[in-house]
Amino acid sequence: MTDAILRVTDLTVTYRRDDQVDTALDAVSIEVPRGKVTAIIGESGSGKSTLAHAIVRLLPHNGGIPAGAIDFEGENVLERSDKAFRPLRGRHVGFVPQDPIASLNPTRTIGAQLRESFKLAHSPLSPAAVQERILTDLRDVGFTDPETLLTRYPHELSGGMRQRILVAIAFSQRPALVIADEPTSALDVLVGQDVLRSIHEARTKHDSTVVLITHDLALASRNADHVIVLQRGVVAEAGPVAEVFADPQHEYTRALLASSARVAEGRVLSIAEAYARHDRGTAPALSTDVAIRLDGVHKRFGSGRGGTVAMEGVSLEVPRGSTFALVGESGSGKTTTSRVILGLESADAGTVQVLGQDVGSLKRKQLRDLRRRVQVVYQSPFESLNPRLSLRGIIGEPLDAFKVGTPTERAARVAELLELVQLPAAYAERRPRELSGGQRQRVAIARALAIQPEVVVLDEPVSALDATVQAQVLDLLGEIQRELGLTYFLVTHDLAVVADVAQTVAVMRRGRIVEQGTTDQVILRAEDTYTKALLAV
Amino acid sequence: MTTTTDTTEPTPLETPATPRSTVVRDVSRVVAGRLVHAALVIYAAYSASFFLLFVLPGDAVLARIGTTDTVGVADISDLDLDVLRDEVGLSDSLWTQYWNGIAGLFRGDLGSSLVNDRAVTDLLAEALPNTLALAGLSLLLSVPLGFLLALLAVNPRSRLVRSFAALVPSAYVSLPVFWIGILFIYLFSITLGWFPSGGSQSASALVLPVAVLALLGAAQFAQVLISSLRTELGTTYASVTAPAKGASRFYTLWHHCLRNAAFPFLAVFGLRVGQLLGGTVVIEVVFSRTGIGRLMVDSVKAVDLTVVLGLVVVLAIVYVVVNMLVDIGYSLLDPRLRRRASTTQEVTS
Repeated sequence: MTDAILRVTDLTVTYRRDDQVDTALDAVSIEVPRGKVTAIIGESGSGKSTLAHAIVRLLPHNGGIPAGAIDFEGENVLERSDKAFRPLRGRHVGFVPQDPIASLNPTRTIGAQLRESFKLAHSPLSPAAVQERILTDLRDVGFTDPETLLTRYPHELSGGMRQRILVAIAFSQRPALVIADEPTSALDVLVGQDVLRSIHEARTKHDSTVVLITHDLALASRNADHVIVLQRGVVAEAGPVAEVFADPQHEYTRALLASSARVAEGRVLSIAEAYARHDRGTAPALSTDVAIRLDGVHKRFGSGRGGTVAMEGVSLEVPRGSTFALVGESGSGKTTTSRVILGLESADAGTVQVLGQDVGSLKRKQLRDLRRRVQVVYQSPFESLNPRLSLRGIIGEPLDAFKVGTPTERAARVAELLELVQLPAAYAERRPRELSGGQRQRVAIARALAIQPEVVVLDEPVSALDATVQAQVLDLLGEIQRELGLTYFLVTHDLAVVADVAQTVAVMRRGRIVEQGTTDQVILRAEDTYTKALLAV
Repeated sequence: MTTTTDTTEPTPLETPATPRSTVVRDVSRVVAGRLVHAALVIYAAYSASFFLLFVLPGDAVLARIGTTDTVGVADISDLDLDVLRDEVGLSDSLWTQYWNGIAGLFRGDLGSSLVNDRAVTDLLAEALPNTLALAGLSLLLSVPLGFLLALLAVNPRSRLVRSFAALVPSAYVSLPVFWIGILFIYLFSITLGWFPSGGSQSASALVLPVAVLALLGAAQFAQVLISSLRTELGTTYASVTAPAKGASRFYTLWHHCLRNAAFPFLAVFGLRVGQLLGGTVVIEVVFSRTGIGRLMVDSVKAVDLTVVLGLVVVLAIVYVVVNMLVDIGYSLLDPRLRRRASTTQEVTS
C-alpha cells in the first residue's frame, strides 16, 4: 500500500465531559489508498464517526487532538491553523453527512446551497458555467429533471433526494478525497442503495478516493475495497475487504461477522440465501385461533389534496402464539397499522379485531381493559424510558397504573421481570442513563410484559441497536415468546430481522399490502416486484 | 447515473416550483386572513375594556367634582349630578353607551374626554408624536445594536469574550428602567451637561430617553438572538455541511444562521413595539415628557372612560398591525410556513 492519499498516525482524540476526559480514539493509525473505497466499520462508540470528523477537523467543541498526525497528500494537516485548513475543505476533501434531513439549510433553495460550494471554493467558473456544472452534477447523482430542483426548498424533497443533493455538494469541487459518514443509515434500504450508487458514479467519474463510515458489514462488503475495523477507539483489523471478511484475524471482527448473518465466507448473502442457510428446525404448526384480524381497513389523514392515505384495504390475520411481521419502508403505513391495532387511531372503514374484540366499537373503559392485554415496545430505547425513574419505577409503572397487587407483590414482580429479560436484580435501582442501548430495550420489554399481556406490538424493536446486540434482543424475545405463549406483532423495515423471527409476513407499500404469507413463501418464493427488490438488497 | 429507480420515494416534484409570484400569492393570502383576525381583535379589546371599565367604582362626574380645577369654585351642592351625567351620556343604558361607542369607532370618532370635553382624537394626536418619536428612534437603534451584541456573543474565538458579551444583555435587562434613567440624567445632564434632562420639545431632549430605551431593546433582542444563534450553530447544516464546503464561522453565522435565528427575534420585536407604545410611562415621568403612557395613567386616575377606551383602541390597532407584520415577516423568512399557509387555505376552500 504505497500510494496512500491519507495516512493517520497514532491519532488520539479526546472529549472533555464535565471535568473528565474520555478517550474516543487511542493511537489510531490507518492508511487510505488512493482511488479506492475504504470502509471504516465498527459499532456505536467505536470512534468511527470521530475519526471521520477529526480528518476534516469538524469535531465538536469539546473534542481535542492531543497527539498524532494526519497526513493528507503527504502534508501533516494537523500543523495547519484553522484558517489555513479551511481552504482544504470542499476543494480537496468533501464530506457527506449522516442525516440528510438536518444537513441542508431549511430556508435556502437547493440551487443556492449548491452554488455556495463554488463561491466558498473561489471557483474561477462564470455563473453560467457554474449553473451548467450543477445541472450536470445533479444528473450524475440521478436527478432526471434538475432544472426544476434548483428553486425548491429542502422540505419539499424526500430524504433520499436530499442525500443525493449532499453527495452532489461533496463532489462539486472535485475533491481528491470524499468522506461519507453513514450516508445511508437514516434512509430506507432501497433509497440508500440509490445514494450509494450515486456516490460510486461520482467517484469513478471524478477519480476520487472515498472513505465510507458504516456500521453495516454487508454494505461495507459490497461497496468498499478496503476495510478498517474499529473497536472502542482502537484499530482491530485492516486490509482488503475480501481478505478481512473471508479470514478475520481479530476476535472482534469475527464477532461482528457472526452477528451479521448476511456476510459469510467473505461475501454478502442475499436475505433469501441467508434465510435458507439458517437452521430453524421444524416450525410448530400455526394455531387456528386468531389473535389479531384486520379486514379491509382504510385510514386517511387530512382531507382534500393535502391528505394522505395511510392504509388502503389492509386485511391480515395473526395466529395466536406466533410472530407476525409487517414489513415496509417509511411512509408505507406500517406504523399507522400498529396504532390502529393498539386503538390509538381509529379506522375510517373496515373492522379491527384484537383478541376477539372489535376495537372500533369499544368504549373508553373497554379499550383500557383491552390495552392491558395488548402492550407495545417502541423503537428508541433512549426516548421511551423516563430518565428520572429507576428501573423499578419504569417496570412497575403499568402495575401501578392498573393497580395490580400489593406493593410487595409488585416489587416481587419487578424482580421476576428483570430475571425474565436477563438483567441482574440489582439493576432495579439503576436509572436508564446507566444502561447500554440493548439493556434499555430489555427494560422496555420487561415493562411491556409487566401486566401479562397476550399480544405485544414490537415497533422496530431492534433497529436502533448494534448488530451484535440486535441478535441478543431477538433471541431474548424468542425465548420469552416460547415461555409465555405470546403473540408478537412485529413492525420493521428490515427483512433480515423478519427472516430470523417471524412465522408469517406481510409486505406493505404505500398503504397497501403487496405480499402476504408464511415467511418461507415470502422470502423464498416472493412474487411481487417490490418484495423482490427488498430481498435483493 | 444509469439505473436510478425512484420508485421508493414520493412522486418527485408533483407540485410546481416556487417562483416569486407564488411567494406573493401565499403572502397575500396570509394578509387577507390576518385582516379579518385584526378587526376581531380590535373589537374584542374595545368590548372587554368597555365592560371592565364599567364595573370600576366611581365615574368621571364624581371624579370631576372632586377636583376644583375642573369645576371651578361653583357651589357643588347646587349641582345636579344626573344632569351632568346626562350631558356626557353616562346616564344612558349600558348597551346604548356601548353601541354608541362602537358606532363612533366606525366613524373614526372616539368621543370626547369626560373630564375636559376635548375630543379624544385631539388628545391622542397631541400625545402620539412624542411617543412615536421615542419608540421609533429607540427601535431603529436597538435592532442593529441587538444583532451586533448577539454576534459578539457567538462569533469570537475566545470563550472569554463570548461569555462576557453574552452577560451584558442579561445584566442590562435586569436593571430597573427608572434607575438607568436617573443615572443617565445624573451622568450626561447634570455632571457633563451634554443633554437636557427632560422636556418634550427639543430634539436634544430625546437623546437620553432614546438611549435608555434603545439599550433596553437591544439587550432584549440580543438575549433571544444569542440563544437562537447558538441553537442554529449546533444544527448539522451549520456545524457540518457549511464548514465542509469551506465556510468560516462568521460566514456560516451571517449567511445561514442569522436568518433562521431571526424567528424568535421577530416575536420579541412585536412585543417590544407594544411595550414601547403603551409602557413607556416610567421613562416619560423620569424625563418629564408627555406621551401615550402618561395620558393613559392620567385618564385612568380620572376615570376618564372615553379617553381610556380610545387609548385601548389605538394600542390594540398597533399591536394587531405589528403582529401582522411579524407574521408576514415569518412567512417571508421561512419557506415552510408559506407552503403550510397555502395548503391549509386550499383544504378549507
